[in-house]
Amino acid sequence: MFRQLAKRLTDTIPGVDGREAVLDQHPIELAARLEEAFEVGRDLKPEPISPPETRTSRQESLGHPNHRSDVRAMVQTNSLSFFGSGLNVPPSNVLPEARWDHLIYSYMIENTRIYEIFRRVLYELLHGEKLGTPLPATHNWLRSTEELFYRDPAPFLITSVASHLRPDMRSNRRNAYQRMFGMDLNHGGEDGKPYPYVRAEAANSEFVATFEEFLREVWVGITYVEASSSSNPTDDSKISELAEKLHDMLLSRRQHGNLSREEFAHVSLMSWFHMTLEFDSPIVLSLRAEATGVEQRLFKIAERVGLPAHGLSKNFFDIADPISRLLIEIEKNTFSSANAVEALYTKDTGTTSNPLEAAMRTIITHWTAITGHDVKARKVAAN
Amino acid sequence: MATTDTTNNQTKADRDLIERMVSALEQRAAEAPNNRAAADTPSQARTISSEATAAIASFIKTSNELAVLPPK
Repeated sequence: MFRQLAKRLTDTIPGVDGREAVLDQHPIELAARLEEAFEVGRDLKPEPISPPETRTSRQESLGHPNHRSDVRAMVQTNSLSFFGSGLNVPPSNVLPEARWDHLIYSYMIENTRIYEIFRRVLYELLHGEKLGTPLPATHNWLRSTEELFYRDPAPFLITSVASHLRPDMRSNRRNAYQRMFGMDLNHGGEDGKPYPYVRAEAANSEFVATFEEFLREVWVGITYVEASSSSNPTDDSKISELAEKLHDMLLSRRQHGNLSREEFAHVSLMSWFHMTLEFDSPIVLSLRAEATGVEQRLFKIAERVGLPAHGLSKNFFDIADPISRLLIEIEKNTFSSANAVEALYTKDTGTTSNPLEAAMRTIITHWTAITGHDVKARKVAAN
Repeated sequence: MATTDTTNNQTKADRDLIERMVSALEQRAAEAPNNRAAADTPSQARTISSEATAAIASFIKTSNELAVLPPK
């Protein structure tokens, strides 16, 4: 969410670097931005491209990407300019359509071990000078990061998803991943042992198998879309059926707005760290981790604190955005018709290149790398 | 004589065949630059269904809502 805010600040205010502006804001200002983002994003306008008879938001059930929640956030209106950022931009101008990322974004980013690495960075900088003395501009980042993400959440905020009943945010995130995707993170705790968390009985344990089958069928479509001298084994009906199966299982976990607050809190947290690494931010400069590329900065910081990042971090960073957008589309039931699925594999559509097909290629490439499951290979039928 | 006629007929048929082949090759050679140009251009765009067009539009809308700055 912070990355989208940075983009909108850059676009809205001439001469402002959105990322620096976000990192420079007071923690309570950032908390207010989060409240505003949830309030705007929890019930978006209905799809303008859907047929007119389905355009009312009430028909988009609670949990649908355009109607995530009916839980209200605290709306801040005129208080944002009181804390010294000088931006003084009414939130509604900055966040006109503030959809937030899918939970899969948080899962992919966290798999790089980014949270654990920055946890150690904060620990060292707040307890001594092992990593050097932070630069002046770093103190804002340190304060905001500790206030927002490494302490008991302030009550009544929408991101307050930890309590006496679920005190550990790391366990809470793993619980959400297990329920939504049937997957745990690829790393345990700092001691290397499996991290304890509550495993829910109602979980999408078939998500990975179904999603990989979906990717495999789309890859067949990409391979044969321009074939003219051979038969085309692309099965639009099967792709559509798999998309609908994914839609049903994902929305089953979101019934009546379930997991929406948790998703928002988790993707916001990962977005903060992701954005921190997308440029030579104050903390990156303080740690002398300047580099080209998000994953290279993470590798350098990981080396400084002695906690290795995942070797495939680049794949995790690169897949996070497109897979988040794809799963949102699947939850919108965009591919429920067999006639619609050719959008997933058709490169040239007459007027322009197809960004959806490009996203599918990216997802298939990186999914194959991070899971080791080659979805480009055809299944071999057993005799 | 019959043998000669047969041979002549065979020779004429061969000549016709050769002429047709030469003609086809000449025609192909004349069209070759066009063929090369066609091969160099992107494949012809497919006409996709209105549902597929709507799916792409929906994806573009979602991508715009979630747009971020490129990493530096």
